[in-house]
Amino acid sequence: MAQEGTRRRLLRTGFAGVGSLIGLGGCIGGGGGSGGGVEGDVAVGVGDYYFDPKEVTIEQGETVTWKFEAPTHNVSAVPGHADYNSVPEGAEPFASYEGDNTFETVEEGETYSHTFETSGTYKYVCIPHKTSMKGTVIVE
Amino acid sequence: MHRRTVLKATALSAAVGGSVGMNPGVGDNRCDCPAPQPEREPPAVYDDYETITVPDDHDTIQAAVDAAEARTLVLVKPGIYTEAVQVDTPRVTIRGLNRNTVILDGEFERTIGIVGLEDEVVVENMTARNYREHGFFWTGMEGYRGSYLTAYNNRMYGIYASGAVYGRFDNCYASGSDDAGFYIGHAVPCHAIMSDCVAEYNGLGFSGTNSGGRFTIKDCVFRYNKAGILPNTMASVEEPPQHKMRIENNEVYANNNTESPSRDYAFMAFGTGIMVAGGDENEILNNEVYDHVNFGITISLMRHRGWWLPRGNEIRNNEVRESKRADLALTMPNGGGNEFANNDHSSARPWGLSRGIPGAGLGDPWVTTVYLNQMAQVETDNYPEGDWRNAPHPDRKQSMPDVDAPPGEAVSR
Repeated sequence: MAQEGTRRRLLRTGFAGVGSLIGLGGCIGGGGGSGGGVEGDVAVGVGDYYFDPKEVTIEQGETVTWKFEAPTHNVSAVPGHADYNSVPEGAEPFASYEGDNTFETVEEGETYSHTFETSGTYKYVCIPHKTSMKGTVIVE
Repeated sequence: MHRRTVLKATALSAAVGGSVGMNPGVGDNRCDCPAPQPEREPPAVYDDYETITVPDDHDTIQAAVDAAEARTLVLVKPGIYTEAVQVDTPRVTIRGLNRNTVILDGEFERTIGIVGLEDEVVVENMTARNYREHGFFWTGMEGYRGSYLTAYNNRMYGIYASGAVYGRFDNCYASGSDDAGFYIGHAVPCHAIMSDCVAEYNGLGFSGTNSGGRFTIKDCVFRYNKAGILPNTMASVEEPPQHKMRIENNEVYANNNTESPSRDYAFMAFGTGIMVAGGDENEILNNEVYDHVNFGITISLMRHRGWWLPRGNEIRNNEVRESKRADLALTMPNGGGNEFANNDHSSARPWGLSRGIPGAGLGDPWVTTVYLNQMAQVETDNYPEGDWRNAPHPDRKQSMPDVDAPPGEAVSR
């Protein structure tokens, strides 16, 4: 059974980067957001319109922590809240917000974590940007 | 120099020298359509519709929207509505009876004034202020319109569309947002028009990431922001690079505001009227651009998970003056094919950019350096910015001319 998600504030120092513009900025995560799986307990960056990496692979019982490096984003795998969302049969949906407050977002610099106890594929989105911010967690 | 800046400066030097990773994925998502949106017929009105009045029929706008079926007009009487409204019924029009006195107030606590989630959601003739994220927001639908809207002192975007197509913003005003007053992004082809709008006292007047294809910004005013109009490319968003937007017949001036609110990257473009950041095949035509401390119109490279070198942009028939560094500018490196022609201007970097001088199309590394210096200021948190909560409040704005008009579709196809 999936555990309740948790949110906590971290010091910004570790991941306070911003998305880049004007051709001169850096980017968070060094360009790993194009789908390569990551083994083990993992962190997923949430930046300006991306999850980085988009797909992670973990073992049952491990935890994914989403680090919000930009404002106005959230995480939702609740099937009724976005067409893209899905969770394995028997697994509990998860979201960074409470109930149906689908546009409640996570403050920049905070994190949201969820521990996955059921194997299978979880598809999730950022609800305010559900057409462009999509992610996957594969639990083996 | 800050260590991170040193690293990036090194990377920039590598790129100038011909590093790999330029324009990753170019061509994968290219829109075959032209840049401009053709003039459309007025959208169809609904012959048969219901009307719900707030607060007569329901105390709140949200309650009225929840009770609405498709083809409903929600009429809102003057008052201050302390709520955040979510519209998940298609073909609903929310209309204030007075643009200046129908006010949604987030009180710096709520996140979004009105968010539209279904097709053909129209919002007209009202004000949204003091929201922690956006004033008016449309996402993931086909058919949206915001008309005669005022959005001020909303933190991130005043009037905003993401992943939405077939839209229009007209006769709107946005101020006091730290990212941009107006944003239309993540949509190719976009099928959108923004016209007769004013953006001031924002980080950016307009921002649009990876949006284009039948997308026109025209007859608008952008002033007193950190920078005016900034279409841009981000690799993390679908459909990079940004391409095929027409920016036409706008007045863009004095975007040098040290006191406006700003997210980091808005300051990187500080003092620029119009900048294409890593975009392709945009058309910048017949604009009046003046009084900028850096450049009037810049075609710039951009780095986001690779280097995005602007290519094939057309800058023609603009009047550009009173720029402290240069009226027209092109960074080195760039992707080539950027055509500057028939612009009324007095200075350019490189010299001869708009006069057909051979080699000018290679760009000027000094232009790149100017923005690199501003980025260094961002990296060290050494740049001026105001507080979005305290930006100047707007004066009264013109209301829509006929509040008794029947509702209808957002835009015609």
